[in-house]
Amino acid sequence: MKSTDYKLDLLISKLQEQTPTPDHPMELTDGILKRIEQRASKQRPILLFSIRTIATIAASLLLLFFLKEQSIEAAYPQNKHLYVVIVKSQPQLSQQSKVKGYLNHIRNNSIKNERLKSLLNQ
Amino acid sequence: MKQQDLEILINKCRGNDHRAFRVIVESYQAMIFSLSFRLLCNEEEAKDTVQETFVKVWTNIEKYRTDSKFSTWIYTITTNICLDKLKSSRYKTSGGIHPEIAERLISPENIEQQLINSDLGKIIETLAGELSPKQRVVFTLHYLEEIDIGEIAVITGMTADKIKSNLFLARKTMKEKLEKLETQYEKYRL
Repeated sequence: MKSTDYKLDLLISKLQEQTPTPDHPMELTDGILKRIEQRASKQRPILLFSIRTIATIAASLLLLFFLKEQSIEAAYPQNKHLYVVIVKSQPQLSQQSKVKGYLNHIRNNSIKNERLKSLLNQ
Repeated sequence: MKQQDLEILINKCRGNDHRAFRVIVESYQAMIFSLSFRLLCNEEEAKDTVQETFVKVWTNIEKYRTDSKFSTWIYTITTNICLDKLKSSRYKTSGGIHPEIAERLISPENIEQQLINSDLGKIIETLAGELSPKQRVVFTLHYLEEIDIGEIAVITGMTADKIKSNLFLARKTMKEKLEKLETQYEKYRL
């Protein structure tokens, strides 16, 4: 057993002395640098793709906006600005209709009051 | 390489400097090849591992903290790659032993000063072929690369006790292998 221990230690020390080296170290270094450069060049299309995507989305939005404008112009060819004024004055109009409604309500109430007075007199 | 020079090179690499990285590759390539070859016992696989290691070093250079040893960090990357390869089914040993390799193992005093890589690979493969991947990694780092147990713990993530028990088992398995070879070789000589 002791001799096996001795042999193993001797074997290990012999293997320590033997340092494996690559046949062509320069080629190996060049290969590594080449792989790194290839990785860098592979990353460029991703950047290019993202730029293209953003540009496409922006162009689509602009086109949609342009089409919307065109459709408004087609609907109101002469009075585009008038349409805009009408759209803008919509809240005022709604307020006016509310006032009208309120006045009608008061008028109806006064009629009802008149009727009630005449009934009470009778 | 001085730690200060190394830090300058690492900072340059972080700024995408390929020339600085070449200097790092040239400095550490031999060390990585030696460990990979001693673990995998195959020149082509060792070269692939060297390439994989440096690609990982390049892509993860931002993660390296300068308060730890750079060589330890590189050894960790290499060890993990080799461990994965050793665990894969491709790395099962053939089991066949050449008589001339057996003779060298039984009589280590006859081992030449300069072995060619293929012979060295066969000797290590025959001796350590029956070890588990973890035992093999620990044996190679400690006995062949002469790294202390504390650093092996950092590289492998194992505790010191676990490393020691793996080394004990590795030695036991290798001694049994040598004894078996001696018996077989005696029969062969007769």
